[in-house]
Amino acid sequence: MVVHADRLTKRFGRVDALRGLSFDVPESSTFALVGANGAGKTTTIKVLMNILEPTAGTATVLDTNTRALSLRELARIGYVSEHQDMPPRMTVSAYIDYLRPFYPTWDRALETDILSHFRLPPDRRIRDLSHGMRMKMGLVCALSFRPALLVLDEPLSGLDPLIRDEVLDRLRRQAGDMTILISSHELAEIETVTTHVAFLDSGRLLFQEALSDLAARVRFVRVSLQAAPSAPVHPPAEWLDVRVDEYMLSFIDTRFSERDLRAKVAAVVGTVAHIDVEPVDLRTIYTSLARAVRDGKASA
Amino acid sequence: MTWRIVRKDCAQLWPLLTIVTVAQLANAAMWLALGPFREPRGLVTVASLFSGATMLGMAALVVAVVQQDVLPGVSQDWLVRPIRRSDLLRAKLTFMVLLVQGPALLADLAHGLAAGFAFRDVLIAGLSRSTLMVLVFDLPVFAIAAMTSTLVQVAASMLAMWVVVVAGVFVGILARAGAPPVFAGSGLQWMTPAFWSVLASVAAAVIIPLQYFRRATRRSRQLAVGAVLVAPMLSSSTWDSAFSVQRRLSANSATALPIAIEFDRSLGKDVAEPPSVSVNRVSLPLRVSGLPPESLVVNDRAEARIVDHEGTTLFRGRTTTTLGYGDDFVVRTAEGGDVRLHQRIALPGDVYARVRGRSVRLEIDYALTLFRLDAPMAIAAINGDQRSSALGRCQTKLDADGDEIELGCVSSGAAPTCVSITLEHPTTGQRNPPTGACDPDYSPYPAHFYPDALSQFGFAVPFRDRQRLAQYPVGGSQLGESTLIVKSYRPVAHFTRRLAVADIRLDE
Repeated sequence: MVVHADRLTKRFGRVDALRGLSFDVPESSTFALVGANGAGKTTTIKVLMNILEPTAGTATVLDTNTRALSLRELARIGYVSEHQDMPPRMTVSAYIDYLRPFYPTWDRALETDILSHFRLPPDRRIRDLSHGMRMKMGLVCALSFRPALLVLDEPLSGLDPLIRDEVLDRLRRQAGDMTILISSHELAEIETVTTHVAFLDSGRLLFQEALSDLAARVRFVRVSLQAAPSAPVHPPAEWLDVRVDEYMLSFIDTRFSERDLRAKVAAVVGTVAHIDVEPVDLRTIYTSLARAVRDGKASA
Repeated sequence: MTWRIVRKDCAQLWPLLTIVTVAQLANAAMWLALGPFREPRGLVTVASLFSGATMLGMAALVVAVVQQDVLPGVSQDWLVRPIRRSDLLRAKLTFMVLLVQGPALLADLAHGLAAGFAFRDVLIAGLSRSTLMVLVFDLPVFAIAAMTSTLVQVAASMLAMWVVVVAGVFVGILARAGAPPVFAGSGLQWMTPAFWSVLASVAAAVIIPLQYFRRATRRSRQLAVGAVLVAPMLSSSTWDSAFSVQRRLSANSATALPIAIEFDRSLGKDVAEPPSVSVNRVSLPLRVSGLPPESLVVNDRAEARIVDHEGTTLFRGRTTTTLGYGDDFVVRTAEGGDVRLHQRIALPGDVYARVRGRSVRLEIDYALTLFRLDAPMAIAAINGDQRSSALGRCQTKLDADGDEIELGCVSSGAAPTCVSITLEHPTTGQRNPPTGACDPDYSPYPAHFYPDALSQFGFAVPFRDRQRLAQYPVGGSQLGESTLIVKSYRPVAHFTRRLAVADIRLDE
C-alpha cells in the first residue's frame, strides 16, 4: 500500500477531527477521499503529509511512518492544496527554478510540457496569479518531478470549468505513472479519474471501496407496482432515498443483485409490474449516503 | 541546499537589503562626519534618529528573511518540500549574520579606519559589536519572527512585550512605595539591560530550535510570555545580592584589601557645607586609608543605621535621597595612602529632629569601588590631536563662548566612566583645579551596539568664570602653551566596609 492509515485520531482542543480513521491506498490507484465539509479530509491529508501530528494512531506513506518522513520520501510526493502558501513575491519561473534542484527526478521536458499546457505566465508574481492559476502552478511544482504519490487537497475547488478540464486532463495524462490521493467535493469531475473511493463523515470512515465494485453494487432502481402499497413501506437498510408514489417505487440499492432484486422488492411492496435499473454516478451515491448518514438511516 | 535558500531569500529581499546596507554605511559616514566634537550639533539628533531607524531596518530585514518561509500554520509550501529543517534554519542564520550583520561590520570597519584607528582595533570593536548585536538583538527578533507570520504581528508582539515589561517595572516601583530599582543610577545599572539581554538570548536559543525542528508555536509563545513576565523581576532584587554579583566580577579584588574607613573626629566640621543645604544633613568626618597611588574610590551605596543607647533603631536607610552619586563621596588620590573628607548624610526631617541632640550609635555599611588610573594622556589645550590606549583619539579646541576647552574623543573601546582633567601650564607649573566626571558603569563587557562600534565622548574644561567670581591659575592667555592632563580610571575592585561610631551627637 502506498498509504496506510491505522486508527488515526486527531483532536483540536475538544473537537475530534479524526476518530480512529483507517484506510489503505493501493499502488497506482487514484484514491478519492470524499466527505462533507468538516468530515476530516484535509486533516487526514495534513496528517499524512506530517504537517499535523496525529493525536493517536499511525500512518505510513511510501512505507514510512508519516512522523519520520524524510527528504527521500518528500522528494517522491507531490502535494497540491487549495490553501497552499507559496512565496507571494516570487515569479512563477523563479519559484520553479528554486524548487527544481530539490528534486533529483525533476523532468525539465515534462515541466515545459505542463507549463505550456497550463499557459502559465512565467514572469508573473505568484501573488498576482488567479486562484486557478495558483492551482496550476501547484500542479507544475508537484508533477514535474514525476512523484510516486500525488496528494491533492480540493484541487478543483473554486476553479472555472475550463481550468477544471485542463487540470483533470493533466491528471489523466499522468495518472498511470503514480498513485493519486485526492480529496474533493467535485465528485462528478473526479469520478472520471478515480479508481478507489473512501467516504468520510465526522472524522470516521464510512467505507472505502474500488469504484468499479461500488458502481457494480449500487444501482438506481425504479419499480412500477401493480397496486399501491396497502401498508407503509419498510425498506431494508441498504435501500437509500426510498420514494413511493402511488404505483411507483424508487430507491438506490447499495447491495444490488440482479438475481435477488425482484424477490426483495416484492417482499417489501407486493406485486411488481416492472423494474428499471440504472447505474448511479459517484455524486448521487455520495449525496444519498450522506443524507442517510445525516438522518441516521445508514452506516454504509 | 543552504546556499540555495540564501540565494532565494536574497532575490526576494534585495530592495530591503540594499536599503538597510546603504543605511548602515550612511550611519557610519554620518558619525564619522560628526567627529569627536559631534558638530554640527543639529546633526547629532538627526544622526541619533537615523541610527535608530537603521536598527529598525535591520530588525525588519531579519523578520523578512525568517518570514520568507513562515513557521506557524499548516499551509506553508515549504513544509511539503524536501527541504531539511536544519538547512532552512542555517540559511536564515547565514543571511542574518552575513547580510544583516556583515554590512554593519563593514560600516564599523570603514568608520574606524577612516577615523585613523588600527585595523586590529576596529576589527575587534566591530566584531564585538556584531557579536553582541547578534546575541541580544538579532536572535530575539529572529525568535519573535519565527513565532509569527507577518511584520505587523511582530510589531504588535514587541509592543505588547514592551508594555508588559514597563508595567512590571512600575508595579515593582509601586510595591517599593515609589522607590526606584535598587541599583538604578548606580554603576550596577548595567545589570538590568544585561539581564534582559541574557533572558532574550536564552529564550531565543530555546524558541528558534523549537520552531524550526518541532514547529511548537504554542509552546514557543508560552515560553516568550514567561520570559517577558520574568524580565521585570530583577528590579525587585536587593542591593546586597546585586553587589555581591558585582564583587565576584572584580578585576583585582586584592587591591582593595588594605583600604579602611574610619571616623575621624579630628577633621572637625565641614566648612565647605553651605548653610542653605545643611538642613537635615549630617557631615561625617572620615579618614579613608590604605589607598593605592593614582586611585579613586567611589561610594556606590551607603546604608546607615542610627541606634539609641537602649538599642532601639531610630533610622535605617540610605545616606542620600538622590539617585546616582550626587551626594555621595568620591575619594581621589594621586599619592595614595590616606584621604580625609566629609561624608554628607541626608536624613528625613523627622528623623533628624529626633536624633540631632542625642548621643547615638551610628553604623554605616558601604559598598565601594576602587578605580585605578589607566595610562594618562597629555594633550595640547588648543588644537591638540592625541591618541592614547585608554581614551582613543582625542582632540581639543576652544568652545564658542571662549570660556571652556572642549575635549572630544573617539575610542574603539568603551568610553571611560570616571575621568579627571587638569589644565596645566608647564612653563610656570601652574594648574587649574581638576575637572572630574564620574558616572560609573561596571559592565563587564565593553561592547555596545548603538549607534555604532566606536565610542564618542567629550568633556568641557573651564578656564574662565564669566561672572568673574573665580579666578583660574591658568587663564586664556596661557592656553597656547598649556596642556590638558587627562586621567581616566577603570574599576578594579568592588568591596564593602562597615563603619561603626559608638557614641556620636549628629549636630556636632
